[in-house]
Amino acid sequence: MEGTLLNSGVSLQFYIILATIIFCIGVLGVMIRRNAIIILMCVELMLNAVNLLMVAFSNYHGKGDGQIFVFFIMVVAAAEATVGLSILVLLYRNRKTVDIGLFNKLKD
Amino acid sequence: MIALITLFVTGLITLFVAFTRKPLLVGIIATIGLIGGLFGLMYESRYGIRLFPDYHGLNFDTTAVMFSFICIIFTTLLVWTGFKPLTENENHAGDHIALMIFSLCGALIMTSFTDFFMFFLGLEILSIPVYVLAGMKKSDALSSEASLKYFLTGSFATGILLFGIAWIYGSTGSFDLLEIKNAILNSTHNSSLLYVGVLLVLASFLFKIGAVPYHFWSPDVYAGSPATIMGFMASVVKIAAFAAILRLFTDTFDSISGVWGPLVLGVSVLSMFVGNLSAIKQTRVRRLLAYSSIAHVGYALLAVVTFDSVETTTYHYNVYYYLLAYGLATIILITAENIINDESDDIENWVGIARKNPILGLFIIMAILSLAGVPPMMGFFGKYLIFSQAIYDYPYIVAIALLNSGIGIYYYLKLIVKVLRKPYEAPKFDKLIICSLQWIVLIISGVLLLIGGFLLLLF
Amino acid sequence: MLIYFNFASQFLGKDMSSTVDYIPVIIQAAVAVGFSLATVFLVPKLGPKLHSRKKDMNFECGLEPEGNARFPISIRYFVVAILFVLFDVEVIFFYPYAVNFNALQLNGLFAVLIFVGFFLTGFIYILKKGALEWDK
Repeated sequence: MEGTLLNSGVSLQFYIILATIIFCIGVLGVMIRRNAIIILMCVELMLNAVNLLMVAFSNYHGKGDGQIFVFFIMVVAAAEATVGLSILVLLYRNRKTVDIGLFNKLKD
Repeated sequence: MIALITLFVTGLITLFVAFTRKPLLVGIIATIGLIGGLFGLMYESRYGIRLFPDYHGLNFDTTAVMFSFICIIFTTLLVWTGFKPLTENENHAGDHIALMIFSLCGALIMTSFTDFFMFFLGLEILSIPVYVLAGMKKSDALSSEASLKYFLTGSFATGILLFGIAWIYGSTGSFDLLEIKNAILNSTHNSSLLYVGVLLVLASFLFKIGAVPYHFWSPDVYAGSPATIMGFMASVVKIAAFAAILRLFTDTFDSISGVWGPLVLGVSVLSMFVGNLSAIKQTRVRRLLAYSSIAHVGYALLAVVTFDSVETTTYHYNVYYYLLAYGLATIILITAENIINDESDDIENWVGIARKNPILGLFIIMAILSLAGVPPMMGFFGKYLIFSQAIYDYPYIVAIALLNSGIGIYYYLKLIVKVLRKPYEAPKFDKLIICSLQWIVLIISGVLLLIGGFLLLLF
Repeated sequence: MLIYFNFASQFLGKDMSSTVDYIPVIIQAAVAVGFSLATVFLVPKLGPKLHSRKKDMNFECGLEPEGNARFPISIRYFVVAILFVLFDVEVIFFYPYAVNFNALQLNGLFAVLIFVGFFLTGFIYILKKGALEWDK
């Protein structure tokens, strides 16, 4: 079955479209949300969309390297989330808010 | 590879040595490790040693060694110049220096990767410590705000980059740069998704180096983070990112340069204009440096576009030389910032530095002249190399770049006048305390800036 | 959208899955959504309503509720949670190793030992830094 992923009846095209939609939701979230924690979650959403895409392509090409890349992405995403949350806690202690619209002291 | 391992182990040792609460010991060990890394790098490239012959993820070729070399030197200089602010809090002295060294490890990976695995890991190892370092001043709201802004834009750029890598993988079926290059060359009809992937990767790069239209974060982040870390972002992070751009775009993707070339050219012109025009009305030193850094990224991108696949090394050399000059000048100005140590970072505090301390004033003026591109300094030769190469392909763009250099000279001269002028009232700072490490940094960078141009004659 | 279909058409000979295959899925989805919506909207209408102070109180495992739940938690919880996330995720690298345990032989073992060594270094650093001490 050409163009269809191994061990499933769903063709690659649907994975691509789904991953793109998830990625776009993530991008939109980063653009329009004002709560820093939700922005962080949206970035994670973007990374997870990439994970899905990587696995789909990996299966399509019949190689394992795409799935190994996903492991790296997951670990880096965890490290990023850790650093991001720590920065947020630091900022919350200084400013008592996580609304990024209010973080404008540098703009003048 | 030897350099990378040396630096990583140095970072670990620094972390644990810091438990003794002796900042000086931490500094000495970090310095020994950094210089050891430098020698490891030279030794490895001189004798062509491969530590792990079976492993091909990292390849320290000439370009990689060149760029790694200045990354290590700049980090060393920055650790010295920022030794006091970095070790202000005894508990975290080791953490800050170790994070800088870990970030440097990422920079080395960025210069030498041969597949997207190592590229991605290198980028993250480079970026994540800098997110933390930007928020180094824990009780300062501005510092943590800069940290958050850098983190959010940086991780967003990472997401875009990964999406791009996924498309490239999807259309070529490999993460290896050589295989990707061959796949692009061999296929008669490249899918448009490959182009989308390449452009997404390019966009994330422009994010990292702070080129227009992805520059909006850089003035805020530069102004908010501690001066030493700002110097690190402006020199080491940018050099590593440019090394990666050269490797990816002028080597792997050079056969599709028709797709990304015009865009980079446009970004280059925009960066010059936005950077220079916005810098004119800045009233804070670090914001001014941030905008001037945007303009300098524009000039350096011009060198990236005018590459020629037949004779790639010259162009690598041009970018290298330009960034070296820019980094040295930035380090001198950062040292001055550290010496003045002023929270408000107002440009008026620079008034009369040359009268307070003539030698420091001389170094500052040398650095500013180099940034402006005035002849005896290294910055002039950097600009000359880039423009003289670009003029064959893009004469009009070079004319625009020259016009921009003119705008640049205006605000740089304004800064020089401020440095030289007599203060209106009694100055806020009574005495400029310059420690011996900072003198060493000033002298090394100053001398290199002066003789850098004449070194060109040797090659 | 057009790009996607061009791209997909390179991979696809023709679309093998027809709409008929998805009918059970659609029925399943409809039942799931319908049931949950029905319970949400019908239950408040059908059931009798009796109010009293005790009844309107938050349910806390049958115990008397104590104080306000929205008080700031000690930062220690947060540190431990963050460290957990870091160390937890690293474990996925053991998965490919475990699957290829035989094929990788001694080299793989050394690589994993080095990896675990870095892990332990980080852990020792955390211990020495005092991030896991509760009374401080």
